[in-house]
Amino acid sequence: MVCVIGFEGSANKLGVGIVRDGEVLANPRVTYVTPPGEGFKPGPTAKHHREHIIEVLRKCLDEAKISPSEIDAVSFTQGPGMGAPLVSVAVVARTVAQLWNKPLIGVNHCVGHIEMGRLITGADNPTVLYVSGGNTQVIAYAARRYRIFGETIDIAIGNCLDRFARVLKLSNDPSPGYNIEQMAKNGKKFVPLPYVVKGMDVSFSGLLSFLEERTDKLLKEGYTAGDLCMSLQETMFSMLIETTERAMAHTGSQEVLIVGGVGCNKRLQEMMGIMAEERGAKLFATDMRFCIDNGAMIAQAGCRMFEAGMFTGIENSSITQRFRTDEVEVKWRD
Amino acid sequence: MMKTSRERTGEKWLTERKSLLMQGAEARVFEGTFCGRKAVFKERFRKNYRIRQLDDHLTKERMKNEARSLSRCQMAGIPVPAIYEADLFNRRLITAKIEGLTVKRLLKEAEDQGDLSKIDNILYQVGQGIAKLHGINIIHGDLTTSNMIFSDGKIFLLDFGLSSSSDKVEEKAVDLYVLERAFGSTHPNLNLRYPHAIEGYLHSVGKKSRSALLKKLDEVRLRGRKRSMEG
Repeated sequence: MVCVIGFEGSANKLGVGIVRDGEVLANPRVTYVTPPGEGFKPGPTAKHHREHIIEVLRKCLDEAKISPSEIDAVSFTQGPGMGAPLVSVAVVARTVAQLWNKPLIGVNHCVGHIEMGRLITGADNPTVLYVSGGNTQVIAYAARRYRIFGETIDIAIGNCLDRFARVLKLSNDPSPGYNIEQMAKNGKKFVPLPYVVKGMDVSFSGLLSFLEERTDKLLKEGYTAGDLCMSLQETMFSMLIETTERAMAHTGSQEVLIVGGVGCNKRLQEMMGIMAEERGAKLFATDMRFCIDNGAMIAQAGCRMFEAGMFTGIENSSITQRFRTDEVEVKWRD
Repeated sequence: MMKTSRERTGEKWLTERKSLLMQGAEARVFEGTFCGRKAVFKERFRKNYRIRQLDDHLTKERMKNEARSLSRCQMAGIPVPAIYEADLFNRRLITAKIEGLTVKRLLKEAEDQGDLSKIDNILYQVGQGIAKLHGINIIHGDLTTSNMIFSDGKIFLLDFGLSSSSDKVEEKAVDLYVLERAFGSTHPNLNLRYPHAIEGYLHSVGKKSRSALLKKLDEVRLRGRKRSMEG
């Protein structure tokens, strides 16, 4: 029996989760939502996390109905992410670890997403599309690492969606991407946008500049905001499906898993499903509870690391804003 | 069974599509016969996940890129499969079949045998081949060890769907970086051998472009690694 508590706060979500032997006992989360037209900045986001972390931790322990003595280890997101929010959460993780006298486990955020996706969907060895506000990667496992086959060469997909939502002054509640997804359902006329794929890598910055410069003009020409949202989604998602498929063809993989906040998008899931079907592969996807950053994913990765004896001493527990997925030795897999 | 007039004229003109070789990201690849010769049929079937307008546009662009780059390579004496037929309407490209192993397979075999000098040799030749390609200002756009076949002592380059034409050192460096990344994830244990490919490349270009390329390559690598994760 392994029972681990996980702390996550690398961006604007703050979550604490407890996982015991692959079962999620509790996974409460709060989100820092900014006004329309505004993104979240490190300072205020960290302040939000500091103000709420004790109540979320309390809620997590209450929901799980266990006492700290039943917990084997404390895991937390060590990176990648925004510096100040990462620090504000790491401090609490270190404190409770010492208070309860439990070992500490520093988790790579991206590895957390992958392990949670594997746990929830039962996917064994999938090619992973990891899409979120800060990351866009096509990942496959080989020789004890989650290898990055493809990624964005400039900005992340979620970043591009968030910034376009700001151009249209869409609400950030519950998230800009969700509101773009809803708007896109009313889109009818497709606007051709820059489509940039380099092998298994993609680029979104040209696409964003294109839209930032021309949105006003396009709206005046009779395109609706829905048309623009639809065209943006169709173009970006097609790029991602194409590179994911290229990685699958290259590695000979027959499973594909979508993780990360943008992975909630139903249209992205639908497109990936069609691609998978056309090549006789299987799609695995999760819902909002586990796609979006949460504490349980850090706890689950913590469980795997606990089993493999991978602990983090206090002296090595400082956070890092840049922490690549392939830096972690995956000792818990063959 | 009735034979078609084409078949009746004899084996010499036989054109038929036979078994599926593989399904890539963009096309189904079949082997078969074109006018009696062994051929590869690359069919870019409609991708139902993307909307029709985008699919038509991408397919047309990529077929044109592929046919154009292949014929330019052929004229320059760079080993690529010969084009037999390019049919934009039916989304089909027929080329010669290159017999041999992919560089991916070849490297895995050499790795299993522990034959380092063979690995270094292959990589050096890969580098030389790409230098030749860049020499006529073609950017491949999707260099991986699966897209190269070792045949007849030469390395044949395949899959030019993402190729473009450019004389910019930036584009060439990105092309090499794409290979470096694909190589690193496909052959994780051979990372230390990879510099042999760069060596082969540099050996085949002029002194001036050599330093410009190395500088740009460092720049591109840094861009990939140090990208901000915020947002």
